[in-house]
Amino acid sequence: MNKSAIHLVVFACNWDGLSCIEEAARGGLTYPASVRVVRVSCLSRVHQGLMLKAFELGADGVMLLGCEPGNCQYDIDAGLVTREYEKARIVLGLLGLGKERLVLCHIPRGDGPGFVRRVTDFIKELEQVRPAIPARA
Amino acid sequence: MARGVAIIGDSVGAAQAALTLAELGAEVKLIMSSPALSLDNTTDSASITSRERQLSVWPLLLRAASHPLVTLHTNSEVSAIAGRQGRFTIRVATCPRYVREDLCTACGRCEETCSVQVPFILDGRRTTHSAIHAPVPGNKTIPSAYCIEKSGVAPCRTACPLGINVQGFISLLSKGKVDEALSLINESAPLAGVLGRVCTHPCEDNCKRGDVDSPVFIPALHRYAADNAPSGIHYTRKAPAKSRREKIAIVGSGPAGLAAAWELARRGYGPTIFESHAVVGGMVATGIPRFRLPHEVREREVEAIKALGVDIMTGVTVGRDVTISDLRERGYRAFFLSIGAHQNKSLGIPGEELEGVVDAISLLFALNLKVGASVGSNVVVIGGGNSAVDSARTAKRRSKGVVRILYRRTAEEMTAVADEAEEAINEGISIEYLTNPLEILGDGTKVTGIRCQRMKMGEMGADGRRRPEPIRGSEFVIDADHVVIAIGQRPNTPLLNIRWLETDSDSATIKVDPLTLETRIPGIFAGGDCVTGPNNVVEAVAAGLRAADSIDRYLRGRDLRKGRSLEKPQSVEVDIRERDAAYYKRARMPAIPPYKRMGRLEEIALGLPLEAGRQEAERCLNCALCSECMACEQVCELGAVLHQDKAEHIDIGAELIIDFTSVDNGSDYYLQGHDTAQGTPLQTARPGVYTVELAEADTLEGKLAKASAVALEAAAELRTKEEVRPAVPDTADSSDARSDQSLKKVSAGTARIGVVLCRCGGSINSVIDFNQVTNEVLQLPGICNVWEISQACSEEGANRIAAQAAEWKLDKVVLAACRCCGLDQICFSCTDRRVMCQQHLSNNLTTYYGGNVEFANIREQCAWVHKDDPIGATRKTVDIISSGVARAREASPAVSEERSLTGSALILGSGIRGLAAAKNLATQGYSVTVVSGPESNIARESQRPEYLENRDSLLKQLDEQGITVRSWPQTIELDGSPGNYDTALKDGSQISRIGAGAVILDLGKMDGEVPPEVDAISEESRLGRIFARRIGSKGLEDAQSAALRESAIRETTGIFIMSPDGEAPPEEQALKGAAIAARASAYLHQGSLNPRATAVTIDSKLCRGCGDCAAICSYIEMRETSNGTACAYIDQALCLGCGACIAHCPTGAITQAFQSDKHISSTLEALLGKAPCVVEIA
Repeated sequence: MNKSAIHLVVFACNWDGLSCIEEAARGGLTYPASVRVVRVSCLSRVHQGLMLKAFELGADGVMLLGCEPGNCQYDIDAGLVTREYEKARIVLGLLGLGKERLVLCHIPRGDGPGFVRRVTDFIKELEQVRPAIPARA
Repeated sequence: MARGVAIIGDSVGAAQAALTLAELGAEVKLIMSSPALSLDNTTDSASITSRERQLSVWPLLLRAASHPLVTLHTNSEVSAIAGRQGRFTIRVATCPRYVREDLCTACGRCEETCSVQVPFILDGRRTTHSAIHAPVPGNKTIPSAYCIEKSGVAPCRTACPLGINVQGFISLLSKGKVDEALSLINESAPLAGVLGRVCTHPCEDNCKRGDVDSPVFIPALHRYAADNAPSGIHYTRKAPAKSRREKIAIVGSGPAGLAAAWELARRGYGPTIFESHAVVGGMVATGIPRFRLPHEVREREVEAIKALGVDIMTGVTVGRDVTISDLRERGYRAFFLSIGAHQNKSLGIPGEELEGVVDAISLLFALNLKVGASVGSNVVVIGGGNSAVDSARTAKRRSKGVVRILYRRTAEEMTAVADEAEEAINEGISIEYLTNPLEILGDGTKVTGIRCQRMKMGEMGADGRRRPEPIRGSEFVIDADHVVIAIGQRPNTPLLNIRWLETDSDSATIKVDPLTLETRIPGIFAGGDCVTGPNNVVEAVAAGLRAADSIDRYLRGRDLRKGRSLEKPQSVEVDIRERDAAYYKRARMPAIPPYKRMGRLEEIALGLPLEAGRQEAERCLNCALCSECMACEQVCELGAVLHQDKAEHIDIGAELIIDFTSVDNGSDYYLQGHDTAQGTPLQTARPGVYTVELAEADTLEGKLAKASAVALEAAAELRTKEEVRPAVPDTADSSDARSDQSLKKVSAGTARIGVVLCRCGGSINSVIDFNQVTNEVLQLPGICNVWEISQACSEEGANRIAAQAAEWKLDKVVLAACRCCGLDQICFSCTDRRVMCQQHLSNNLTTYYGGNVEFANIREQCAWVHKDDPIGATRKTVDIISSGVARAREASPAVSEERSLTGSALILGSGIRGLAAAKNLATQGYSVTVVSGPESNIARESQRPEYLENRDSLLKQLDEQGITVRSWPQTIELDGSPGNYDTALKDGSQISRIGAGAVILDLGKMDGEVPPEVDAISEESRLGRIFARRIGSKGLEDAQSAALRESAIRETTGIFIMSPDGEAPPEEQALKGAAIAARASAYLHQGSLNPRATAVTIDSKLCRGCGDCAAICSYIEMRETSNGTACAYIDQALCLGCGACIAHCPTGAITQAFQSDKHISSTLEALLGKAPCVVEIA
């Protein structure tokens, strides 16, 4: 990977989250190639271990991209992912990496421009907080 | 032939009805006048505005359209319906799409290359889309295949005698594609450099831009293409090898002869041109002055034509040096006479024999091609045609004195091109109109002057022109030392010396059949000025091309006339207001100023400069919309563009018809007079035809309910005629029949993996460097082979993947294309091509569903969004593919336990909906049990007479169908597993048990938070828990929202709940009952039940019984094991597959075959460039 780029992992839920990423592509929008998407069935599938794993592997930031409240395909309580997200943020703070490296985004279904805006804004924020994670050997 | 049901319409209702019928095993033909099913069409109602709600319908549309039993007929307008129920024939007029639905992947490359923008309105804004475009620009559709907007033939094209695609080459020039523009011109005709300079441009005269400001400067653009094409003129590029041996002689190398030779050479012949002059080009060389048409331009064209294999013999006069008979003896089999008209007409007045009197042809020839020809100082040219003007202007350049033109009519009648006459005046030539020469005066040997007479315009003559009449007493004398007679020419036909050649006694022109240009003598054709008399270059070229076609037909022994016509195609009517054209000034041709022209023969017009040419081209209004420049056809690697697509009429057979297009559309094929009540879908007066009116005010749920109900009714109608219908072709059933080119199940770590890179017709590899990807992916452990295919979503693509998998003995395949997953779910992002890809693969690879094909989306998630960064995109592609490889390596095929499905239904609750559902399910042939109650509910409903009436009538019908209605017990316990529920109705000690595959619960019309029905249902029983989950946080969802979700992730529970719905009128309740019966029928029709591939499994050895998962998901229950400990358990058919329980399991006892923690972390490793480079040894 490009050493200077901001490495961003997006955990996207297969439903509304992925639909935003897909609409961005269909709408001819672009975003940096250092953004890497991991598709999961539902954000509630992602526990804090997986979020932290991304940082362990060198990610500069992790975005959790899921449905707006009430839109979940599985009627899963949105509190589940929020709890995991909060726990992971505490760990990030304790590790000195900074809580702001993990964000939870609920954006409307099919909002391609919204996704691109959020992801580019997040990259800009991360650029501000560098230097980031020491490169693992 | 008539089988199944025809559904007319493209609304969401039509899609729902199609899906329901298909799931019930009926063949469905979905006929729509629009080019595709789209979110726009289907959600036209005001009730659905947001994108979000629109997308929620998407899985339904996609599942309906891609169902194997559904055939889509797009762009199809129903014109008539014949026949009767059971054997209808629906006559449909199809509108061409010009793009193949089976091949187009909507990659959009054609759109990028398209040079025509068509105005349209998107969300109230005026904008444009390309002539080739997505069916609904800016929206998802099924099929996603593009379509081309065409509107007849442009007026410029119809005006061109050569049929040059004028709009096409102009649109290419507007995109700066000069080479392509010249090639397009050269598809119709040669000599672009000549025609661009001297053509009389009927195209421009017909140009609709003239109605806005002034016509497009078409001849200048024609010339621009010829002069500026970087590759120059290359006729050989598209010419076939010389394949025909027949010898053809062409007499005369003028534009007609050259054009004929060019066309014949393109058809594989090697014709010979005989030219009497030393110079090639006929009048183009000898008659047109060099300052209008430089010799180099002509010579370039002639060289290019020679390069095609045309032999030109100069200095040979046919008729004198060699005769036609001689040529016949030498083996020439066909002849084209294009000798032009070079013999000058004489004035027939005294003095023409004087020295200093010359004819225009000789003068032009001498001044054009000879060195040292001299001109007098007082030149008078007699005539008003092009040769008169050309002679005068040429003479002016050499003369130190006066040059004037005498013309007996007025400026309006001059046959010379007006621009050229104007230039003549600019150059200082005076034109004496209404002046007729009576006698040329001389001193005995040399000319000294002309005695003239003034004329006036008189009556209309036989030729449609007003005749000049002399004015008495107006005679006068003009001094002259050089008189040029330019009053016309005639062909020198006698010189040809051909017996039997029929000529006009007056004009000496050759008589031919105007359609074929054949003379009286078979095998001898003639065209150009020798047939028409002096005419322009473009008509001569047209004649040459026409003659070449005739000669080709003649030599092949084909009919000379068949399929040909002299009629011009009709040009399209254009409403210029629709074209949003703003005023934009026409380009001016830069020219050498008149004062610099004298004494020189350089070309005056300099040609449009580069940018000016492109801008002038942009002024084109694109009258015909698509310009047929063929750029899209060339860019599409899949061959999906089909410009020659035609409208056609097809007949579609059907047993029944359901029409969703509004009943008031005036269609008279129904035998008016529907017995529809209150907007409910019903039978029309014509048996077997149903109409459904989806009112604007209907909610989405209401529309879906109506559609399901009518579908069920149609299915019942089909059932009465035929007891057993074939089930849906099940992919699992036909697995035995598949080829043994299948992938095998193997243990992890040792798998032989192949990677397929899909080019998507060039759209992916135009951004991503596939060579680099191949090289890097081959370095990954376990990769045996990496290969490219042009298209993975076609039948052929799937075949190729299967063949390669077999050849390389692959265990697993990673497909890098646009598909994201191998699951049988349809999410909001899915597309028709992705579904097609899966269908073809599952037909070709046996163990496809076993996780042996892994997908990586490198189109929407890489190439498309990183087109500005090809290096980064290539890097990312490698990472995405290695994540796919990592997942493939670890994938263990999901074990799906197929189970039986009891073909019966239990209906709890006795609202009208429940009773209607029971009635409809019974009609479908399922055994039904109704548990009626509870009493409080019935009592309340019964207070309203219209309910009571409906209820009684339904109960009576149920009784007739032999359905038992049981009374409501104290408690209901529903156990067993999905597919085979076991219900216990308990009244004190009395217990009766009922088995059912589907359970429908009608929660009546209660307003309370928890309906009393639920009270009776034991929370401890399975149904109780399911209710708890369904009612859950959001409250009960509407039945049809659940239906929408079913089309995304399928229904596996077999439990259908109708939430309380207030005070709905009884008809609407009956409709909802029918709609839920439709869902239940479709579910039961499967015959067996497969849990979702996404369902979790719980390892009882690892479970420590903490119950965290059960706290999250009420489908999970805690059971006591034999040794007394607790253990979590889930019935796979109940699991929706979200995976939340996995995230909260502290021991890792819960796993999902497709997204274990291991999967996700290896995906992360690969995506972050940390993929392990060593295979773990299992």
